[in-house]
Amino acid sequence: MRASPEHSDEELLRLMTAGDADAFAALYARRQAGIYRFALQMCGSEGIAEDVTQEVFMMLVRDSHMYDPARGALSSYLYGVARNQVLRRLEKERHFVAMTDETMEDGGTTNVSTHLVAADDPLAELARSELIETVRQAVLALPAHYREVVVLCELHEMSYAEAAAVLGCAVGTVRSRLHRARSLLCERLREARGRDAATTDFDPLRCFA
Amino acid sequence: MNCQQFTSHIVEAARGRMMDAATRDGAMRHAETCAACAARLAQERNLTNALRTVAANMNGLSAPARVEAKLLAAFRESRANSGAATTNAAPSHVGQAAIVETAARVSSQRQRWRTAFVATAIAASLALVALLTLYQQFAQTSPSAGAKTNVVAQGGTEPSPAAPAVAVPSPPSDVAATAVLAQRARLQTARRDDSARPARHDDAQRASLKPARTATPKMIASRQVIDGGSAIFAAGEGESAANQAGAAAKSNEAESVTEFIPLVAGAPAAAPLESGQLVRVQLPRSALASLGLPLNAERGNETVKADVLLGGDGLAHAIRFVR
Repeated sequence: MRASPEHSDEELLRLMTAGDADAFAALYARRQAGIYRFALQMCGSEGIAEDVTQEVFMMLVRDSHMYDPARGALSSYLYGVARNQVLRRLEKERHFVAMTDETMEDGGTTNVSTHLVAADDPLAELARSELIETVRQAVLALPAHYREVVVLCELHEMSYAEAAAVLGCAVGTVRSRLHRARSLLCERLREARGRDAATTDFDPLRCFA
Repeated sequence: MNCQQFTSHIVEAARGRMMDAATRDGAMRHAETCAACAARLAQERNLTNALRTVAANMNGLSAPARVEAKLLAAFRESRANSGAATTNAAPSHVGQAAIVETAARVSSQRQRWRTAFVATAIAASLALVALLTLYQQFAQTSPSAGAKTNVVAQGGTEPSPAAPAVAVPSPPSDVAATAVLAQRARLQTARRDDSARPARHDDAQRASLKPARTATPKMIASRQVIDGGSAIFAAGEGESAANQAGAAAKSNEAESVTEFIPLVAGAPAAAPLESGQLVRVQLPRSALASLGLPLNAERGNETVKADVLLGGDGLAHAIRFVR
């Protein structure tokens, strides 16, 4: 039996375990983007997101028997592995000073915000990119246990139950964490808007004077 | 719906997710009547829109193609390794026989090692038990061994260096006294503890058959009668009395003793004692003169062995001399 898009994740995994490279490629193509984005949104670094994605699927190659279908969907399992990898990386990276954008560009790693700028309507896109960057920074500034709930439920549009399966906690916990995370986001976005208003506050009459 | 109830549903209402229709309608009606809650709902909706904008802008992101290439190469390498392992795991019949033989040899060696280990452990345990037993025996004999002060308890069965054995046959009267003593102890114990302490029967019988092992005799509530140079203990504790009698008999087999001489003025020699202890001492021969006994002046510097009968009050009541 050859791998096809109609196969479920579990079937692809079974084929992959039997040695079917196409099944592994199909499973990777189906799930890698979500895993990569999740890692990127959690840590804000493309390099780490790339490493995490590679490690998640390498673990699937090495220890595919670790997955228990009775405990949840394969996608939830992969997200859970990615989450553990991200948290481990964040714990390691916590002791290092963050690199500036200029340094990162020199090193060949670009910041994620460069992907978010379009050139059709420069002013609208500038405002939009500023908004996106502000929200993204606000999400990254959240504590990890709030951030992962926002990323899964808001950015990946998972239900409370799916997020609970990934995080290994109760649905009520996910719900309460999401309420608290959104309140924190609202506060930080309001503060950021206040700072922007203060820096751009001017008297137009004096400009024309 | 009040403001508190509205707060608990505001996130679901702002996200536009599926929720109970009645709850949703109630929240919307409350927002129409409450300006503060309406403002909060608007703020939550703005946040939802902002987050969706971020999500939409990142939807096109995926891992670089090099990651897939690395993973596929790793997958193929892993399959190749596992295939080689499978090939190695299915050898010819000769190979299988060699593997089985090797496994049997390893198992036999392990079995031998296990047996040797168990035997060593058992031998070590036995040696430990023997050492403990020897230590206990040494601890029991050490008080008598340490009696270098020439004061020896009469009731002990262990030979003491301070009281060397003398090859003198024991008088028949002592043997008879010992037998009377043991029987009296048995009868008295049986009368006293017949119903309450049945185990004492065995104790008395065992005491009459077995010599005492303690160097210091226990003579609680005993009565000593001085009768013709023999100490007869009509003891409340049958075992102790029997031990004393057996010990006295053994001791008298090697020694000859005089009669007891009362030391307390006015006290009869055969006055019964409630409790007492017989202590072996060495005295200068000049002490014989103080008791009115004849003394050889040429041997006045030598010592003589004696048994002093101490009462329960700690006073010396009588003395006899040992040869």
